[in-house]
Amino acid sequence: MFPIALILYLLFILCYIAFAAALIYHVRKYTTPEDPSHTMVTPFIALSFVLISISAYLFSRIPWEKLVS
Amino acid sequence: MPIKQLQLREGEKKLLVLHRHWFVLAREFAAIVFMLAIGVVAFSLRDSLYVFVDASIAGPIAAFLLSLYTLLVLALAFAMWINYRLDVWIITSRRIIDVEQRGLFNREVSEFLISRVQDITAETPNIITTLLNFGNLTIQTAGHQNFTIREVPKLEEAKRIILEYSHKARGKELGISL
Repeated sequence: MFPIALILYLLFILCYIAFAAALIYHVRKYTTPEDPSHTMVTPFIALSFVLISISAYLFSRIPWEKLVS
Repeated sequence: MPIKQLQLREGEKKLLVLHRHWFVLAREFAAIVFMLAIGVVAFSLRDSLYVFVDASIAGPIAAFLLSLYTLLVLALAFAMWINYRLDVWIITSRRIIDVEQRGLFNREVSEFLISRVQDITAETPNIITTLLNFGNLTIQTAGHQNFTIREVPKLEEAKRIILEYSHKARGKELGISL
Protein backbone atom coordinates (compact mmCIF):
# COMPACT_ATOMS: atom_id res chain seq x y z
CA MET A 1 0.00 0.00 0.00
CA PHE A 2 2.70 2.47 1.09
CA PRO A 3 4.88 2.17 -2.06
CA ILE A 4 1.86 2.68 -4.36
CA ALA A 5 0.67 5.67 -2.31
CA LEU A 6 4.19 7.11 -2.34
CA ILE A 7 4.45 6.75 -6.13
CA LEU A 8 1.03 8.39 -6.62
CA TYR A 9 1.96 11.19 -4.24
CA LEU A 10 5.28 11.83 -5.99
CA LEU A 11 3.52 11.80 -9.36
CA PHE A 12 1.04 14.38 -8.07
CA ILE A 13 3.85 16.59 -6.79
CA LEU A 14 5.75 16.26 -10.09
CA CYS A 15 2.64 17.24 -12.06
CA TYR A 16 2.09 20.16 -9.71
CA ILE A 17 5.68 21.34 -10.13
CA ALA A 18 5.37 21.07 -13.94
CA PHE A 19 2.12 23.07 -13.88
CA ALA A 20 3.57 25.71 -11.55
CA ALA A 21 6.69 25.96 -13.73
CA ALA A 22 4.47 26.52 -16.80
CA LEU A 23 2.62 29.30 -14.99
CA ILE A 24 5.86 30.98 -13.93
CA TYR A 25 7.19 30.61 -17.48
CA HIS A 26 4.16 32.58 -18.75
CA VAL A 27 4.81 35.37 -16.25
CA ARG A 28 8.50 35.55 -17.15
CA LYS A 29 7.95 35.38 -20.90
CA TYR A 30 4.88 37.49 -21.50
CA THR A 31 4.96 40.25 -18.91
CA THR A 32 7.35 43.11 -18.31
CA PRO A 33 9.28 43.62 -15.06
CA GLU A 34 6.85 46.36 -13.96
CA ASP A 35 3.79 44.11 -14.30
CA PRO A 36 2.35 43.23 -10.84
CA SER A 37 2.34 39.54 -11.82
CA HIS A 38 6.06 39.42 -10.99
CA THR A 39 5.40 40.33 -7.36
CA MET A 40 3.04 37.35 -7.11
CA VAL A 41 5.62 34.77 -8.24
CA THR A 42 7.70 34.66 -5.04
CA PRO A 43 4.67 34.33 -2.68
CA PHE A 44 3.27 31.63 -5.00
CA ILE A 45 6.52 29.65 -4.91
CA ALA A 46 6.86 30.12 -1.14
CA LEU A 47 3.26 29.10 -0.46
CA SER A 48 3.59 26.09 -2.78
CA PHE A 49 6.77 25.05 -0.97
CA VAL A 50 5.05 25.37 2.43
CA LEU A 51 2.01 23.39 1.28
CA ILE A 52 4.16 20.67 -0.32
CA SER A 53 6.14 20.41 2.93
CA ILE A 54 2.90 20.18 4.95
CA SER A 55 1.52 17.53 2.60
CA ALA A 56 4.76 15.51 2.87
CA TYR A 57 4.60 15.74 6.66
CA LEU A 58 0.92 14.67 6.66
CA PHE A 59 1.73 11.84 4.25
CA SER A 60 4.34 10.57 6.69
CA ARG A 61 1.78 10.76 9.54
CA ILE A 62 -0.65 8.33 7.87
CA PRO A 63 -0.47 4.99 9.74
CA TRP A 64 0.08 2.79 6.68
CA GLU A 65 0.53 -0.44 8.66
CA LYS A 66 -2.86 0.09 10.36
CA LEU A 67 -4.45 0.90 7.02
CA VAL A 68 -3.28 -2.40 5.54
CA SER A 69 -4.40 -4.43 8.55
CA MET B 1 4.89 48.10 -22.88
CA PRO B 2 3.23 45.09 -21.25
CA ILE B 3 4.22 42.56 -23.89
CA LYS B 4 7.88 42.24 -24.74
CA GLN B 5 7.45 41.11 -28.36
CA LEU B 6 5.24 44.03 -29.31
CA GLN B 7 7.61 46.73 -30.38
CA LEU B 8 6.35 50.20 -31.12
CA ARG B 9 7.12 51.44 -34.59
CA GLU B 10 8.76 54.75 -35.34
CA GLY B 11 6.46 57.65 -34.49
CA GLU B 12 3.98 55.32 -32.81
CA LYS B 13 2.98 55.98 -29.22
CA LYS B 14 1.09 53.91 -26.71
CA LEU B 15 -2.21 55.58 -25.82
CA LEU B 16 -4.06 53.15 -23.61
CA VAL B 17 -3.54 49.70 -22.14
CA LEU B 18 -6.71 47.91 -21.15
CA HIS B 19 -7.07 44.86 -18.94
CA ARG B 20 -10.40 43.36 -17.99
CA HIS B 21 -12.18 45.12 -15.14
CA TRP B 22 -11.21 44.02 -11.60
CA PHE B 23 -14.77 42.73 -11.12
CA VAL B 24 -14.02 39.93 -13.60
CA LEU B 25 -11.10 38.82 -11.44
CA ALA B 26 -13.17 39.18 -8.25
CA ARG B 27 -15.89 37.00 -9.80
CA GLU B 28 -13.35 34.29 -10.61
CA PHE B 29 -11.76 34.52 -7.18
CA ALA B 30 -15.20 34.08 -5.61
CA ALA B 31 -15.17 30.62 -7.20
CA ILE B 32 -11.75 29.99 -5.59
CA VAL B 33 -13.08 31.04 -2.17
CA PHE B 34 -16.07 28.75 -2.71
CA MET B 35 -13.76 25.84 -3.59
CA LEU B 36 -11.68 26.47 -0.45
CA ALA B 37 -14.88 26.58 1.62
CA ILE B 38 -15.98 23.23 0.14
CA GLY B 39 -12.58 21.74 1.10
CA VAL B 40 -12.84 23.03 4.67
CA VAL B 41 -16.46 21.83 5.00
CA ALA B 42 -15.53 18.39 3.63
CA PHE B 43 -12.62 18.24 6.09
CA SER B 44 -14.87 19.17 9.00
CA LEU B 45 -17.24 16.35 8.02
CA ARG B 46 -14.48 13.74 8.39
CA ASP B 47 -15.99 12.72 11.73
CA SER B 48 -18.77 10.98 9.82
CA LEU B 49 -16.12 8.67 8.30
CA TYR B 50 -15.18 7.41 11.73
CA VAL B 51 -18.20 5.08 11.60
CA PHE B 52 -16.52 3.18 8.76
CA VAL B 53 -12.81 3.84 9.36
CA ASP B 54 -10.86 4.21 12.58
CA ALA B 55 -10.35 7.85 13.63
CA SER B 56 -6.56 7.37 13.85
CA ILE B 57 -6.56 6.47 10.14
CA ALA B 58 -9.29 8.72 8.68
CA GLY B 59 -8.03 11.88 10.42
CA PRO B 60 -4.50 11.90 8.95
CA ILE B 61 -5.78 10.83 5.52
CA ALA B 62 -8.36 13.66 5.50
CA ALA B 63 -5.72 16.20 6.55
CA PHE B 64 -3.34 14.91 3.84
CA LEU B 65 -6.04 15.12 1.14
CA LEU B 66 -6.97 18.63 2.28
CA SER B 67 -3.34 19.75 1.90
CA LEU B 68 -3.25 18.39 -1.69
CA TYR B 69 -6.59 20.02 -2.47
CA THR B 70 -5.34 23.37 -1.13
CA LEU B 71 -2.25 23.02 -3.32
CA LEU B 72 -4.47 22.52 -6.38
CA VAL B 73 -6.67 25.51 -5.49
CA LEU B 74 -3.55 27.66 -5.05
CA ALA B 75 -2.30 26.74 -8.53
CA LEU B 76 -5.74 27.40 -9.99
CA ALA B 77 -5.89 30.84 -8.32
CA PHE B 78 -2.46 31.73 -9.72
CA ALA B 79 -3.49 30.50 -13.19
CA MET B 80 -6.60 32.72 -13.01
CA TRP B 81 -4.49 35.72 -12.03
CA ILE B 82 -2.07 35.14 -14.91
CA ASN B 83 -4.92 34.67 -17.37
CA TYR B 84 -6.41 37.95 -16.16
CA ARG B 85 -3.13 39.86 -16.49
CA LEU B 86 -2.19 38.40 -19.88
CA ASP B 87 -5.47 39.34 -21.54
CA VAL B 88 -4.64 42.82 -22.71
CA TRP B 89 -5.65 45.35 -25.33
CA ILE B 90 -3.14 47.97 -26.36
CA ILE B 91 -4.27 51.03 -28.24
CA THR B 92 -1.46 52.88 -29.96
CA SER B 93 -1.58 55.85 -32.30
CA ARG B 94 -1.44 53.41 -35.25
CA ARG B 95 -2.79 50.05 -34.16
CA ILE B 96 -5.11 48.21 -31.83
CA ILE B 97 -3.47 45.09 -30.47
CA ASP B 98 -5.48 42.32 -28.87
CA VAL B 99 -3.56 39.78 -26.79
CA GLU B 100 -5.72 36.95 -25.59
CA GLN B 101 -4.49 34.21 -23.31
CA ARG B 102 -6.87 31.31 -23.88
CA GLY B 103 -5.07 28.88 -21.59
CA LEU B 104 -1.61 27.56 -20.89
CA PHE B 105 0.48 27.72 -24.08
CA ASN B 106 -2.59 28.88 -26.00
CA ARG B 107 -2.22 32.50 -26.88
CA GLU B 108 -3.55 34.67 -29.65
CA VAL B 109 -2.18 38.08 -30.64
CA SER B 110 -4.06 40.03 -33.30
CA GLU B 111 -3.81 43.61 -34.41
CA PHE B 112 -5.33 45.95 -36.94
CA LEU B 113 -4.65 49.48 -38.10
CA ILE B 114 -6.52 52.18 -36.25
CA SER B 115 -7.23 53.88 -39.59
CA ARG B 116 -9.48 50.94 -40.54
CA VAL B 117 -11.87 51.63 -37.65
CA GLN B 118 -15.32 52.67 -38.87
CA ASP B 119 -17.75 52.34 -35.97
CA ILE B 120 -17.40 51.77 -32.27
CA THR B 121 -20.17 50.63 -29.95
CA ALA B 122 -19.73 50.87 -26.18
CA GLU B 123 -22.10 48.54 -24.36
CA THR B 124 -22.86 48.28 -20.64
CA PRO B 125 -25.15 45.26 -20.67
CA ASN B 126 -26.38 44.96 -17.09
CA ILE B 127 -26.74 46.65 -13.70
CA ILE B 128 -23.31 45.55 -12.40
CA THR B 129 -21.48 46.85 -15.46
CA THR B 130 -23.43 50.11 -15.19
CA LEU B 131 -22.67 50.56 -11.49
CA LEU B 132 -18.99 49.63 -11.80
CA ASN B 133 -18.54 51.47 -15.08
CA PHE B 134 -17.24 48.80 -17.43
CA GLY B 135 -18.53 46.92 -20.46
CA ASN B 136 -17.88 45.75 -24.00
CA LEU B 137 -16.45 47.72 -26.85
CA THR B 138 -17.34 46.51 -30.34
CA ILE B 139 -15.21 47.91 -33.13
CA GLN B 140 -16.20 47.54 -36.75
CA THR B 141 -13.37 47.79 -39.23
CA ALA B 142 -13.31 48.63 -42.92
CA GLY B 143 -13.10 44.92 -43.68
CA HIS B 144 -16.56 44.57 -42.04
CA GLN B 145 -15.06 42.52 -39.28
CA ASN B 146 -16.37 43.00 -35.79
CA PHE B 147 -13.86 43.05 -33.03
CA THR B 148 -15.07 42.96 -29.44
CA ILE B 149 -13.14 43.97 -26.37
CA ARG B 150 -15.00 42.43 -23.44
CA GLU B 151 -15.47 43.60 -19.87
CA VAL B 152 -13.04 46.49 -19.88
CA PRO B 153 -13.11 49.73 -17.88
CA LYS B 154 -12.63 53.23 -19.35
CA LEU B 155 -15.10 52.56 -22.15
CA GLU B 156 -15.77 56.17 -23.05
CA GLU B 157 -12.10 57.13 -22.88
CA ALA B 158 -11.13 54.20 -25.11
CA LYS B 159 -13.91 55.04 -27.57
CA ARG B 160 -12.89 58.69 -27.71
CA ILE B 161 -9.20 57.90 -28.19
CA ILE B 162 -9.83 55.31 -30.90
CA LEU B 163 -12.16 57.59 -32.85
CA GLU B 164 -9.83 60.57 -32.52
CA TYR B 165 -6.76 58.68 -33.72
CA SER B 166 -8.75 56.83 -36.36
CA HIS B 167 -9.80 60.19 -37.87
CA LYS B 168 -6.23 61.47 -37.64
CA ALA B 169 -4.83 58.34 -39.28
CA ARG B 170 -7.37 58.41 -42.10
CA GLY B 171 -6.66 62.11 -42.60
CA LYS B 172 -2.95 61.36 -42.90
CA GLU B 173 -3.64 58.59 -45.39
CA LEU B 174 -5.68 60.99 -47.50
CA GLY B 175 -3.12 63.74 -47.05
CA ILE B 176 -5.50 65.97 -45.08
CA SER B 177 -4.57 67.46 -41.73
CA LEU B 178 -7.51 67.03 -39.33
